[in-house]
Order: sequence, then structure tokens, then C-alpha cells
Amino acid sequence: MSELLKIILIFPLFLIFIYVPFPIFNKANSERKLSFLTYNLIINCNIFLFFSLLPMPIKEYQNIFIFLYILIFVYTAFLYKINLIKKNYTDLFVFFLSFFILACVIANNLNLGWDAKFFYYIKSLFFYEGLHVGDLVNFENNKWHPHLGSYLWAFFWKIPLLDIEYFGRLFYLFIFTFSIYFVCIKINKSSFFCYILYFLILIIFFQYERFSGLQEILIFSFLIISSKILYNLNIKSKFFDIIIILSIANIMMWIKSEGIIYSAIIIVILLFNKNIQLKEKIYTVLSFIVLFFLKVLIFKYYNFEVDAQPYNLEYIKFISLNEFLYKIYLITIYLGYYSLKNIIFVLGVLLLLVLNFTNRNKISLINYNLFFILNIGFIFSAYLFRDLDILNASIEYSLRTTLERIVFTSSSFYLYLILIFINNNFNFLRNNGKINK
Amino acid sequence: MLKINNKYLKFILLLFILILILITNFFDNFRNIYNNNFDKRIDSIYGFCGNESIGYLKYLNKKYKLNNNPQIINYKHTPNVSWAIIDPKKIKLPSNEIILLNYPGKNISLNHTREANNKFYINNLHFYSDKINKIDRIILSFKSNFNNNDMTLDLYSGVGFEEKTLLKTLNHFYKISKNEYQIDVNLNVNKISLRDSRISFKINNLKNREIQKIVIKAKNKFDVSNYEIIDNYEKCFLIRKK
Repeated sequence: MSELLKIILIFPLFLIFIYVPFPIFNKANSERKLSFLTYNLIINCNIFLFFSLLPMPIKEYQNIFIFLYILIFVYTAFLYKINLIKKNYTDLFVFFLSFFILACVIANNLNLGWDAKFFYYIKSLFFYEGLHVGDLVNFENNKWHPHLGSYLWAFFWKIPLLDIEYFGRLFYLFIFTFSIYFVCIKINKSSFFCYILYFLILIIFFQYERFSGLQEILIFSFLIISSKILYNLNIKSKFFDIIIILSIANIMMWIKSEGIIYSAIIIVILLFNKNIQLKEKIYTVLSFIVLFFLKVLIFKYYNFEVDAQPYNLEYIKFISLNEFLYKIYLITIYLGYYSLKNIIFVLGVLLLLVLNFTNRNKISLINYNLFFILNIGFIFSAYLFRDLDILNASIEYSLRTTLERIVFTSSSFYLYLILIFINNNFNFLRNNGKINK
Repeated sequence: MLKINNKYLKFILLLFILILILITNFFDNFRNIYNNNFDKRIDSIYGFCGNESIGYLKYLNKKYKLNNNPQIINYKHTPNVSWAIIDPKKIKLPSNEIILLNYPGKNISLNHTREANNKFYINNLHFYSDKINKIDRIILSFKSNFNNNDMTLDLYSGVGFEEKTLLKTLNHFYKISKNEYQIDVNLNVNKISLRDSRISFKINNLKNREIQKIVIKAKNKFDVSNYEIIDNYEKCFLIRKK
């Protein structure tokens, strides 16, 4: 079967994982509920995480799992009396078109990133070859990062009949395009305006290297989703939204080590939400702590190193003032440089600064202010207190090779702020007759 | 004032789709995927026997039943290449086979950088740790005939901003041609700890003469004539311990 045809066929399969298990159709008008598509994606990633922790090869459940999901989808469509033929598929076509264009870049390029060759590809090969998470203890580079991203890679790589390495990475692309679709589509009544925003953001963000097996793109995408959920969290849907934010935090913890920090940041932002009562805040914090310690327990159960990252108390205690100041100087320089190279990061931070002083758009900024403070705090402390002797690297080397990716990951959270701002101004122009309704 | 209606928005949308198609080289990608299968595309990206040599590794994996996971030594500094053929089920099992990529011969010239006329450092000594046992000798070339019996060489661990530690001072330079001097270093790289993998050296008493060229020589750990050669393509080998 031609690879191009396979790329086309994998798309509906990916769609199943945002259409199921929760019914996504609105009973009143048969329209898809965008928020439920997201809930399904998050729940399914947690289901994948659960499966990844079992001593069970992928092939033992994969076919049944996919078949069951297709059945659930058909049953739901039947139950909600959805006429799949007469439905308006413009949104879906736009989504597919962008996916296909970008999937061809990945299929053509194929080059894996440095870290992917060292960590993620080999881990995914473990799962692909029918081994399970416990076997990763034999892989010496396992200690640096958790395995969820590699597990997703292996699951979609191993799809019968398709079975091509990069199809696992196409699922990363699917999550990426969906996260942008989630924040753009229906942000405005004009669907053309939404599609324009969608393509504009893809043009800005898409680079092949992000899909070369590196994991930042997954955290990036989940941060985009969490940014919108946190902003729109209201009393009516808060229970579900809290669960989803906790689920996103759980997923990010299992993707990369720094995922724990981003998880903690979105939980802190959630705690500052005025729609959430004290009791709910306590439950949220407790749940997050349970999820964190569950991860630690699982690591201990499988004899994985829990504290493999290059931080130790002795180093922090004995860091000299000169070294401390030199590090601050270098971090500032490199952070400034990489921020300026990332248009969304620099726009997001500037917009946040301007809106804090002249908030005419009535955009709630608390989430973004918190994210900015916590994220900058994270970046500085991550490099200040890193014992680079363990890694046999200089701080400059460390900054040069990793900070760009951290800035890229962080930029995702500001994206929704920029979109709300653009949308508010578009609506303002529209209401004032400068744009035809 | 300009009024924007849906026609304009449609036009802008089409323009953006077109930009996405153009900046991603969609038609080239499409054609390449259609004309070349996955393996061909892998060969063209990573090379067959050169740089990462993934094509050669995949070829060996297909042609031979490799003994567990052979050790792979790539003499070109590239990202890890073992991913291409690693069998995770046999990850800790010993193998009596070795794959040599971009094999340079019995002797290796180590890459180095010149800091000043008389200061040099070896780039990433750690890279050579599985390829050489020791740094054997350093050869200095001058523009013209030059007699100097006072030259010495200070060998340090560490480079640049890092704190340097003097490992030893050597003073037995000897002349090997009209304009070339050699010094035997015999520095065992396996005895240098990982954090000191940056080695620099300084040549003293040059008497204002400029060093034209410097060669740092080390004996290759692997001499293919001591092994059974199972497969060879240009500078890539699959060898087995005799």
C-alpha cells in the first residue's frame, strides 16, 4: 500500500481517539462539542498511560482496543441519530488538509533529533518489540525521562498494515494540530477568521525538528489546551475542567522531567481561580500530590532512578557568589536571545506587559501573570542550581542546547492570550462597522 | 475606510494555505514519498557509508543475523547511531562482533583547536575514549628549517574559562625532518576522568617561530587485520574477534 494512502488512512484512526469514549455530538443540533473532543484526547492519553504501566505488550490489546473504540463511535452516532453523510465537514476538512500537508514533511524528512536517538526512539522500540515498561530498566538512558511519549510513538507505529516508524510521530503532529484547532476554531463567529488564525499559527510554529522524536511538542500542545481550559473555566463546568487539568498534569509528568514543573504551574494557576472553592482547591492539591507520588512509587517499583536529574543539595549550598552571578548573567543573555527568536513568546510577554497597564480588552490576566512569574522562576532556578559537573558540560553549552526548547514549550501558554486579544479587536472592528458582519 | 467582508477573508485564507504549502515544500515532499520507499529515503538522509552510515547499519541488519547488539564505533562525530539496529530484547547480552564506521586506518589524527600560536586543545577527548588507548605523539611543523632544543610542552586538563590543571611538562622534543619536531606524549586517556575530558597544551620557548601545522597522533584501538572481516564496504566494516 502506498505510504501516501497510509498517511490518509491514519488520520481517521487518530480521530477516533478524540471522538471516543465520551459522546461528542450535541443532541440538539448534532454538532461536535469541541470541549468534548479535548476531554476525549486527554482521557485517552491517560488510558494509554495506564496501559503503558501494565506488563502487557501493545499487540495483545491494540486491535481489540481500536475495534472497541470504532464500535463505540458508531453506536454513539446511531444513538444520537447523527447522519454522518449529511454533516458539514468543513472544520474537519481544514483539520485534515493541514495534517496531511505537515505529515508529508515528516514522512519526507525522517531525520531523528539528537535526544530522540539517545532516549525516545530506543524506548519506543522497547514497546514496539513487545517489551513492557519494566524492561526499560535494562536501558541505561532510561533514567533521564519518563516514557509516555515513546509509548504513544510505539502504539501508532505498530498499527497493523500501516506499521511505519514515523506514524508514531504523526500522532504527535495530530495532537499538535488538534491543540491549535482547539484554541482557534469557534473563537469567533466567522469561521473564515478562525481558519485564518489556525493556518497562521501553524505557519508560525511548524518546524520539522519539533517532530523529530523530541517530546517538547507534546508538552507544548497540552499547555495550549490547558491555557484555554483554565481561561474559560466557569462554575458550570468546573468539576469536569478540574479533572481534565489534573489529567493533563498527569500526562505531562510522564512525558518529560520538566513536565512535572509545568504540571505544578497549571495546578497553581488552577488554585488561583476564583470560581473554585477552598474545598475543591484542597482536593485538587491532594489529587496532584497523589499523582506525583504514584509516579514515584511506580518508578521505585520498576527500579527506575527517581532523582536522575543533575540537582543536588550540596551543590546548591556551596555555590559561590561569583558563579551565581555569572550564571544569572548568562541565563539572562540566552533567555533574551531565544525569546526574541520566538515570535509568540516575545509577543505574548509584551502583550501581557501592555495589557497589565492598559487593560481595555477586559481580558483576565491572572493566569498569564502567574504563568510568566512561575515560568521565569523555573527557567532561572533550573540553570542556576544545575550541577553541570555531573553532565560534564558548561552552563553555556547547557543553555545553548536546551533553552531554546524550553522557551518554545513555554510560548504555547501565551498563544491563547494573543488569540483572545486579536479576536477582541476583530470583534471591535466588526461592531464598529469596519468589517462587514 | 476599507470594509473587510467574507470575500477578503476567503482570499486571505487561501493565501495562508498556499503559504503553508509553499514553505513546507509540499509538492516536493509528496513526489519524494510517492517515488521513493521508506528505506530509500532513509539512505538518502543518513548516508550509506559516511557520516552516520545508517544505510550500512540497516543493510548489515538485513543481511546478517547479527550476534546480539554489536558494539558500533563511528570515527565521525555524529549523534548516537546504535538506535538504527538495536535489539532491545538483547540489550545487555555480550556480542563478539564490532561495527566500524568511517574507519580511518591504524592511526588516528585527533581534532584540535588553536587558541593562540602556542596554545591548543583537543576537541572532545571523550569522543575518542572508545577508539584509542592513549595519545601517542604530537608533531609540530614549522615553515622552514628550525633548530630548537629548548622547547617544552605543558599538558593541562580543562580548557578556556574552565580551571586548568597541569598534568605534566614534557621536554624531550626531537627532530624528525628539517622543519618538524615530534614529542612522545604517551598520555593514557582512560586514566583521565570524564570531567577532565578536555585536554589542552601549551608549547613554550618557541623563540618567536610560528607553528604552521600540528598533528596529534594516537594508535587506533582497532586494527582490522587482527579481526575476522565479515563485511566491508569502503570505510565501513563488520568484524568479529578471532
